Amino acid sequence: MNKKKQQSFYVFIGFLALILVNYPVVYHMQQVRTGKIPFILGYLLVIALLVSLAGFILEKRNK
Amino acid sequence: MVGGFIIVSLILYLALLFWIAYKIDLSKKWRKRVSGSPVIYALTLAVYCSAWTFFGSVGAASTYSIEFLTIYLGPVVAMPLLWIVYRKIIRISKAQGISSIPDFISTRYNKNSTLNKLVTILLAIGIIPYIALQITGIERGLETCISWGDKSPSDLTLFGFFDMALLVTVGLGLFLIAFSTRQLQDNSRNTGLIGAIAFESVVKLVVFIVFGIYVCYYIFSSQSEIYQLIPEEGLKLNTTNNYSQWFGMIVLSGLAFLFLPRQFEVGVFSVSNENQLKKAAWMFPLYLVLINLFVIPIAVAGNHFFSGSGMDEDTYMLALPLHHEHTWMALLVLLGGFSAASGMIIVATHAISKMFANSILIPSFIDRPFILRRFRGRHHKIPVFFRRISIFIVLLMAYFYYKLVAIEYSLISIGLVSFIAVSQFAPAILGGIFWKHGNGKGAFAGIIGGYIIWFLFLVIPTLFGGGIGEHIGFDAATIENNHGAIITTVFFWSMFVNVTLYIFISLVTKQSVLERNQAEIFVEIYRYSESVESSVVWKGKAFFPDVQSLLARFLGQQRANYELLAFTEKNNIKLDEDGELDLRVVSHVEKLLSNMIGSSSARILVSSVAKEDKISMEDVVDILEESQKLMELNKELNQTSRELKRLSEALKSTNQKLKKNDLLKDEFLYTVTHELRTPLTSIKALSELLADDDGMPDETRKEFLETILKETNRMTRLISQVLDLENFESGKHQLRISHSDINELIVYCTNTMDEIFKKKNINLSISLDDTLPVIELDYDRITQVVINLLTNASVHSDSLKGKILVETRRHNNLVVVEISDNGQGVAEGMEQAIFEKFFQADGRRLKKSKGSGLGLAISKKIIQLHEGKIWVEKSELNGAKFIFTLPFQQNNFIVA
Repeated sequence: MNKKKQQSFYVFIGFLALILVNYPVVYHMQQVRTGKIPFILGYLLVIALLVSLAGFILEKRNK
Repeated sequence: MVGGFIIVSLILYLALLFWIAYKIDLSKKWRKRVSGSPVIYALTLAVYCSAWTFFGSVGAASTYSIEFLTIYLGPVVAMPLLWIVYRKIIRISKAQGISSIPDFISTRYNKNSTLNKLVTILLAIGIIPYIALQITGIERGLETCISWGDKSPSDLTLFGFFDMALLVTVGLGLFLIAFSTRQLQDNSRNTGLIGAIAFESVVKLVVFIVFGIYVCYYIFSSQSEIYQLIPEEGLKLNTTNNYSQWFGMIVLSGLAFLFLPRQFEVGVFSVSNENQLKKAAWMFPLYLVLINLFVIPIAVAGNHFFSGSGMDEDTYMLALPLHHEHTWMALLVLLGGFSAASGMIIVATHAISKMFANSILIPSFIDRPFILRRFRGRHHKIPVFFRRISIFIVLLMAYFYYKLVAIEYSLISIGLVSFIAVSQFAPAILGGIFWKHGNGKGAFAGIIGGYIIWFLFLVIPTLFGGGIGEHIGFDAATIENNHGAIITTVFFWSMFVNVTLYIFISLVTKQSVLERNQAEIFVEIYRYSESVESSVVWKGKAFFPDVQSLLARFLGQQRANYELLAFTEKNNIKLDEDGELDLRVVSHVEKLLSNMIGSSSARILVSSVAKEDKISMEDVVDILEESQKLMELNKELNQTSRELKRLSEALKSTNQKLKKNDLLKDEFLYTVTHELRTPLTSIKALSELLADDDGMPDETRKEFLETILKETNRMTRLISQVLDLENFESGKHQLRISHSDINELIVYCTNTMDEIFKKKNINLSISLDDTLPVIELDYDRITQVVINLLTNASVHSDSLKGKILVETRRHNNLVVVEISDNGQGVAEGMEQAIFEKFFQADGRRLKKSKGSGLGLAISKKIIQLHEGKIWVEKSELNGAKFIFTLPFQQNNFIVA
């Protein structure tokens, strides 16, 4: 993958993460109640893990 | 808990840090491992998680709000930008010899020393409260542990005299003196310090996770039991927390993560390889996830036990184990918190003291006679001396801030105030690397404007409480109680003023000549990084002995000579030891000095030995054009070199192919002659017998003649096959295409072979697709293929109950013919090899076949000439299934 493509992917991941943790989405998520563990915590955890996973894949692909 | 025991534990922990840093610095192997490791790099970025994270997050979350998470969501969102922003900054810093944020900003904007000093002072004002915050975190931790259960306030002094927070500050100062000034003496990175910081990041993470498990599964039985304690309104955002507040905090923490001096120090100036950023881009978000995993459960547990008791929420981490009389766990948490705070204090103090020494102290005192006298003959000690002084100045200022102000406020409040201060440099830095028109005046105005807003609305209320603060808008109590809303409001307005001033003034004022050059280099660093030396805009006169002597004063004679020689050789510069020096050498010397004493001091020193001339715009244009030409030349050379390399590889590959073909040809000739010699030998032997023995019985004579005839036929067949193959391979053979019915061809072939099948007791089944159209093919050649495949099938099918199945079908625009047998099949891995000439030629054959070894090779050629494919699979009858396809129409041949 060339550097420009790589940069575009990193920008895309950052932008996507910014949208997913934005107020309207978070506000909606905090109202969801599933079981005993608050849903919002699981949601934010998944977003952070997704960013990490995407970074991991990009690193491995560009090794 | 006994105070003495705690003190001994902290001293032992500090001793361990000293030992780790010392061991790493001592061993070349470990230095290399630490400085090159992307994992260590990612761990050092975790210096972001300070006492604020360790104690403050639980304190903030204890209000059941998830608002504190924005401090970590910001860096998670900003992490992917690390590759874009940090990579560029790293490249620029390496090319220009930059070692601090003020150096970076001033080098970009006209190498302006006033701007350099301003940024240093403002950064110190912004960050010292943050260092004080860490001391507060340590002090609160110690107080909670020591005074737990005491009704009267405890004595936090050693022997009733030494303040423990002061002792910790002094201890960390000594650590910094020992390990953060090494770089100045031997040009190595601060590897020991970096290793110690990475170790601290592991300690705080492990302690936090262990403590989380302890709370969730030891004090309580499960996490869900804790979550049941959350009231109905649950983990909801504050009612006052609206869109702008949430978004603003994420952006603020993202910017702070990128531009905090301590992050810059470990993320930019300690990196050895840009690729380390890629690992950090995924490891650091993972680290943040892990360290925040148990914050909410711990906060809920803290509220459960201590709500309404008036206890400071920031101390819940320690109060929980102390309340349950688990002293060891409390000590472990204290050490984790100490590790988080000390890591931040060490790196932040290192960064600020470096700026303070390089931008303020050294430029002010470097040419003072008393300093020169004091360090006569050992000028390289000057930066070390000033750096050590700076370390103590910074730490003492932080200590006094803690004593006078910070002790009154929550950890988060102080931290966010510092975040806003640091974010004021973001427009100048980002604009400096992405916008060529940004200039020093704009940066200056923007930073000042943003800082004024910050100072008026956050610092004054913090310092003067309800006095002046109330008149301005926010008082200290408001800041304390509703910090989120105020922080984001001040952040927005300070950034608005900062960015507006930066852009507006940059657009209405002109850049200086030097500034234009620096802007070009900074923004286009990936184009210029190889030839920054040739893009130097400096005009004047300097002589070798002066410059060499200047460099030797700071680097020592031997290293100075080595640096000059290495640079001139690399750039093909002729060094005239008595004459005028090439401008690139002067610039390189300035860069080397910048690494040690900062750009301002380096500039002062260089101008003391060089006479600078005024430079015109034409000169800049010439220099940039020349540098551009040089780059293009380099690019062309690289391109040519790459092309030559590619051609050489192609030549090598062709040569190898030719050698292989030569070998194949030899093997082919050997096999053919061998195959011919066998029948010839028997023909010769039988002919001699016939010639010598006149009285041979007629019956024997006839038998011999038949054998001779059979062997002759075999030879003829082999020779025709070799010729056929040669014709096909050389392209001499043209197909004679006609419209034919493939089913009719199959029936013809099976009828021809019928006698042989009967003789071998083979059961032949035929399944033909009647809907197949008449197709274009060379009837004789395809017949040859089918007969060959049927012969192979008859030879290899089961010797007692042989079965052969012939099928035709249609697939898209192809006719598919399949011939299966129930023999042993083709050995695995040999599916391709069996189609090679004399398949045994290169020794791959497992068993010599009864044929010539050319039949399948010829069949493959014939099918390929028909634009079809042939291959072998395992058949449903457990033997081999040969399949070939033929297109309905032939494109490359004239129909006969």
